[in-house]
Formats: sequence, structure tokens, C-alpha cells
Amino acid sequence: MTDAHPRHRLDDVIHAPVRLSIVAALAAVDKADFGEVRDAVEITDSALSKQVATLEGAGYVDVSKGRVGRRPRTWLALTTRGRQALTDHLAALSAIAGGAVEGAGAGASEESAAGAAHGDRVGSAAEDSAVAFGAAGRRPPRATGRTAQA
Amino acid sequence: MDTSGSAAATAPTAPTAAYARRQLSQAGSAGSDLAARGRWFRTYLLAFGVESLVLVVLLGLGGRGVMVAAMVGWGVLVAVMAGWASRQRVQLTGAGRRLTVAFAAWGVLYGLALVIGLSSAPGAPAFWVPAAVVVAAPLLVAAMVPLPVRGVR
Repeated sequence: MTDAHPRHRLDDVIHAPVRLSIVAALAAVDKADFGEVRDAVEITDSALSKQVATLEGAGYVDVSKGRVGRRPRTWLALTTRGRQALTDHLAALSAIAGGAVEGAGAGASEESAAGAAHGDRVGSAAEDSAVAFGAAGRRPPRATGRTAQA
Repeated sequence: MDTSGSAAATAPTAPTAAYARRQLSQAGSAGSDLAARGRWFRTYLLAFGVESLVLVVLLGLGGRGVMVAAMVGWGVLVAVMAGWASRQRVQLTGAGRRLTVAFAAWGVLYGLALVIGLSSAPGAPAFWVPAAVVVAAPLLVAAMVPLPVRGVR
């Protein structure tokens, strides 16, 4: 069997569901507090710490410490390498899902992305891909096979 | 092969199209959830925009005592909002740049309004009310226009 199947382009680090959520969440922001990421991804502190350690080790996430008044703060930010890895991983997922969106997804606004979060956008691989690529700040690849359903 | 974490080790080696779609949906949802928590900067700009409207009108139409009170009020707002902003826990990509551009534009217009208005139209509502709107416009527009969700450039 050749390596042509898009599953071979999936990123081993990001492929884990929880780490994908963490990386995708960070892709939408410049940086975020540890607690905010935990709440957005809906996992425990210890679980997030463990996953962030893995992502940091892979060079995908940058962890920095700060302080607000007397309160310590841990900031998480996606690195350039992490953004590229996410983009590539989403492209592979989109190819597996059987739809790349043509001319859609680039520069999604806060409102359209928030609409997806509230379930306003239900549907096809094309729409899912568009939202995910919008969060990563990339245009999804053109469809090379089956035409995406709008 | 990754072996860390029970939740992390459940990704299939041969994902189906349905699984891939769920992953894409999950990625989009996670990004938008966190981005929604970063929209505080729009409240920040809106507060300053509204206060700017009031400030310019009071400076132009009020007496000396009102002008002093207006400036003190502005100072209090700046201090309160700066403290509030420092406690926010998500920073959207591009928000800092938008804040900088909006406040820079506001500063220029504010200066022009004061120079022109205090010298040539003191106490004239026909100047100061529209001027207040124009001065506040960069802040209000920056607050209203959605920030594109984008990655690192």
C-alpha cells in the first residue's frame, strides 16, 4: 500500500483528540491563560498540563509565566510550527472527510466562528473544514476528488 | 508513536470520514469557544468610545469646573479600564494592533477637535456635538467591526 492516503499526513502529536482541541483553541488567539484553555477544552488541570507538556515538547506550544498583581499566570500560545502542523493536519482530515472547500474558510470572522460554537452551523465536511481552517487562519485546499457538498 | 494519556491514545490509526468530520467540527468549536472569551477588547473600546463622546461634549460646552470634572472622570476611566484589561485572560490575534490604531486615530482627532473648537467655536453645540461623534468614531468602529479569526503571519 502506498503512502498516498491522507491518513499518512496526519500529525501524530495533534491526532489525539484532546491535543487537537487544545491546538485548535490556541490557533484562534494570540495567547490564552491556562485556565481559559482548560475551560474551553473541558478537561482537568492535570490533563491539560500533561497534554501541554507533550505539545511543548513537540515545539507546537509555547508556555510562559507571568503575574497579574500577586497572582501568577501561565500563558499558552501556539508557535509558528504548531500552526503549520495544525494546518497540515486539518488538510489531511479534510481530505479524509471527503471534502475540501473551494474559496471558503479564509479569514472567518469572530461571529461565524462563534456561530459554529453554538451549533448554528451543522453539516457537511465542507462547512466543518471551513470553520476549522478559518480558526487556523488558512484557506483549505481545493478539492481534488469528490466535490464537497455545500 | 505517542503513548501519553489515556484520552490522547484513542485516536484511530485508520480514521473514517465520519471521524474526520467530527474532528474538524471539534477543532472549529474549540477555536471559536476560546476566541469568544477574547472579545473583551470590544467592550473596552466601546467604553472608551462612549466616554469620549461625553468628554468632548463636556469640554466644549461646559464651563471650567465641568471641564476639570470631565478630565478627572476620563482619568478614572483610563485607570479602571487598564486594570480590567490587565486581568483578561485571552488575547485575540490582532486585537493589540486594532487597539493601537484606534487609539492613535482617536488621539489625532481629539487633538484637532480641541485645537479647532476651543479657538474658533467655544461653547458652540453645532461644532462640539458633531466633533464628539467624529472623535469617538475610531473607537466605536473598532469596537463594532468583528476581528477576523486568523493565524500567525
